[in-house]
Amino acid sequence: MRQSDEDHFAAFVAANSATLFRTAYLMTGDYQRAEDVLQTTLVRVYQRWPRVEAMERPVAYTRKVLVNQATSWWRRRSSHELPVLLRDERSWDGRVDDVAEHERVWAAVLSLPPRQRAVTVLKFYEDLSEAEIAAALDMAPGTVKSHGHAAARRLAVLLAEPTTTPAGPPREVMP
Amino acid sequence: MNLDQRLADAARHVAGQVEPPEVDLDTLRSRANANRRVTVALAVAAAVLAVALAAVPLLVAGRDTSAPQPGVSPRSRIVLTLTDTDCAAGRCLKPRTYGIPLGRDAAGLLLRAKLNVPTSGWDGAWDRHRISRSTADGAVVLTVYQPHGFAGPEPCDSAVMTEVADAATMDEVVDDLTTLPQFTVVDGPRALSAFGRDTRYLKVRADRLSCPPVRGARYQLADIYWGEGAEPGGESAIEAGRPVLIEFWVLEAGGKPVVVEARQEGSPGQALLRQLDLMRESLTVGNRQ
Repeated sequence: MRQSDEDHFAAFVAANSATLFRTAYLMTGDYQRAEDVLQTTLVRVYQRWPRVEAMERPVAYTRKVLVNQATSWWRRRSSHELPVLLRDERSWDGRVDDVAEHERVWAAVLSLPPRQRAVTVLKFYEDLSEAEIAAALDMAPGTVKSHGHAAARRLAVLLAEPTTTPAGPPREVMP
Repeated sequence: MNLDQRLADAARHVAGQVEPPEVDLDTLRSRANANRRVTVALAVAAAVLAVALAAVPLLVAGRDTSAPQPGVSPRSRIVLTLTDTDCAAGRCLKPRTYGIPLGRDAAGLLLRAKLNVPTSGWDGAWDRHRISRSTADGAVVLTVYQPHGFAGPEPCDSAVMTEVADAATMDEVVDDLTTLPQFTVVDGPRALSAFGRDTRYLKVRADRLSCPPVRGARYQLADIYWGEGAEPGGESAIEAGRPVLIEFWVLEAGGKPVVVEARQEGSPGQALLRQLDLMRESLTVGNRQ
């Protein structure tokens, strides 16, 4: 690789590796595994860097590789997972302590099936649109929507959140 | 605080709790170079094997190599694959042949359906397996897929679908389709020859599909293999609230079940139904060349 490509890759890593690592961490729930996922991802990107850099959004491609790595590991692990038990712990004055609340919420997210978890991470941490999530997960936008709703329903049960009811009549059929 | 806000806050909090590791670029380069060496070694081995195999026929004495070889097809027309990128505005398919990726067969070879779209104005928006067209009163939808799951006891929840076995037979798939919640079988199942193959045919009807009053809930008819690989990621889903009539043809291709789903929602009119039939009758399924 030319020196200029090396420099651009180093700058890309410096600018994006922290966010990518945190995404991997949120998806795996495991620091060591997130580190492995990040390194494997960056190796793959490095091997194709001139082509990746020429893409319109190199970080979107990199995120796609990362998510694929994380969900592959997840599938291998999923058969050994135990259900997460959630308790509604409250502090002395009756308010849910913020830190405990965040950890309780994320424990619920970590109990979701792989694709629902991936959609949740990309939506609420990376703030991606449905189309961007669909591209990252290589699935149809309609499927992203379905997984998002399934995740919301599951989390509403786990976290005792009321479900949303539509304000009006059913929507027109849109195939 | 609503659930979306709780999730966004929790994601930021949990992500903020971890200190990202420093990335060692030298380690990355070493791993990349090691991978490259393995790739080169495998490529050399494959090339040596290919040369050796190519030499075998030359060693067979008296063989007439000028005779036409079976299985060599003429150059095929370029077939566009239904894409998720250039049809976002809707109604943009042209009258021509399109390909639909169906994942891989039992031997790992790519499977593909091909069909002729008869007229302009059909939608293939954001999907690789579905062609549709709607009017004010209804819609027709043709979906072709390798199924990974079908609607389960809670048909509007994609998390609880009935999984289809990896090497399910046509009859096992038909069993799943005859027990779809809210649908009644009105014809079949029976053996029928279609698409140049033996198939199982059945027709099901629902007078009005219903889902719980949850935002965005749809009837999750099927979870389907999405692309060229082996991962699911697509779906056949139906908005609740209208009568639905579906004809299914289940066939087997290379040891894998394939479903052709021709769907009518509401009252789309005879002209669209005839075009749906034309499109479906043009369909073929086979290995991708």
